[in-house]
Amino acid sequence: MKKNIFLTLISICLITTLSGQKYFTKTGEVSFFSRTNMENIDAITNSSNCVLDLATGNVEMAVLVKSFTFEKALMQEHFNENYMESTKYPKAVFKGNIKNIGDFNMSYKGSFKGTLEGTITIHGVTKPFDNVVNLNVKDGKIKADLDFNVKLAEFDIKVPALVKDNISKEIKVTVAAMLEEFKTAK
Amino acid sequence: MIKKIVLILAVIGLVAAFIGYKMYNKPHVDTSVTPMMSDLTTEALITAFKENESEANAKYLDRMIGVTGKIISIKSENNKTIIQLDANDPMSSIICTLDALRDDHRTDFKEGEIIHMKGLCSGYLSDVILDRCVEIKN
Repeated sequence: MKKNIFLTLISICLITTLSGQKYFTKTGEVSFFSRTNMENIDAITNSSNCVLDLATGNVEMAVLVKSFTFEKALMQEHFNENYMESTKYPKAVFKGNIKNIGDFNMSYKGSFKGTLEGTITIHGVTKPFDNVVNLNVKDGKIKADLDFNVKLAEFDIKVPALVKDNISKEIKVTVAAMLEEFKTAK
Repeated sequence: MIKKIVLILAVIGLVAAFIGYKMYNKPHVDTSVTPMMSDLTTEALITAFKENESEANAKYLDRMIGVTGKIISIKSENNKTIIQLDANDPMSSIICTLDALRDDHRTDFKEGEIIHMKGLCSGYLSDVILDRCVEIKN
């Protein structure tokens, strides 16, 4: 009887610790790249939040549009004021789930290919999104990497005719986040 | 006569090209001389965003904001130094990324130290983000 109570207690403890397995970052890197014959444009930020719940596979990521830095100040200005309207839409957000998270754990060796499904919101427009995210366990942290293409027209991002040859219609976005275990106590 | 017109047009063309080139290559704002729009405590800044994010966005977004607070962590990502300031809140803090276009930052920041920073406000995730930060030396 005592043994049973002991086992039940142990399993309750295990379940609570396992279900609390959240990994997060506040400094995820997001960059994008536009390549045309006229010029190449790239920008990067480390101002993004990402939370991954290992128990459910739920993922949420948000990035501040204004935090992207460009080499040229003018491009940054146009990006914020004309294309992304970042005062009106300060964040780009992904919400979704890694469908096959059950096959992944913190002792997984090598690169795990997670099937990511959800919705992405850019410039106030929400679209369904699916992609493969690579997860690699490193020193108790999870390195998450993915890249995808964004078609500007799909997100209602308008580029003036004057510079339409300078900006690609499809922008490559790269995400690299080092997720640490979430601890509530400071 | 035609020669003169051609010459004038050429000069106008050159000036326009020069202005265009200057505009295209205009530098990023110099953060050390940009004046602060407001100067507050880390708690006050977090509270403003938590209570009404859109109102705080209208007030602070893209503006140079000064904050004073205690350093809780210092890390480096992509050669950028990111300093997290305590805001007396277990979930939220102020995240200051030092201005990567400057190389005159102090390098001996310590956890627990109280510092006075200013930076351009990029918005609020679970933390308030200040980019291109510089320390204000009293």
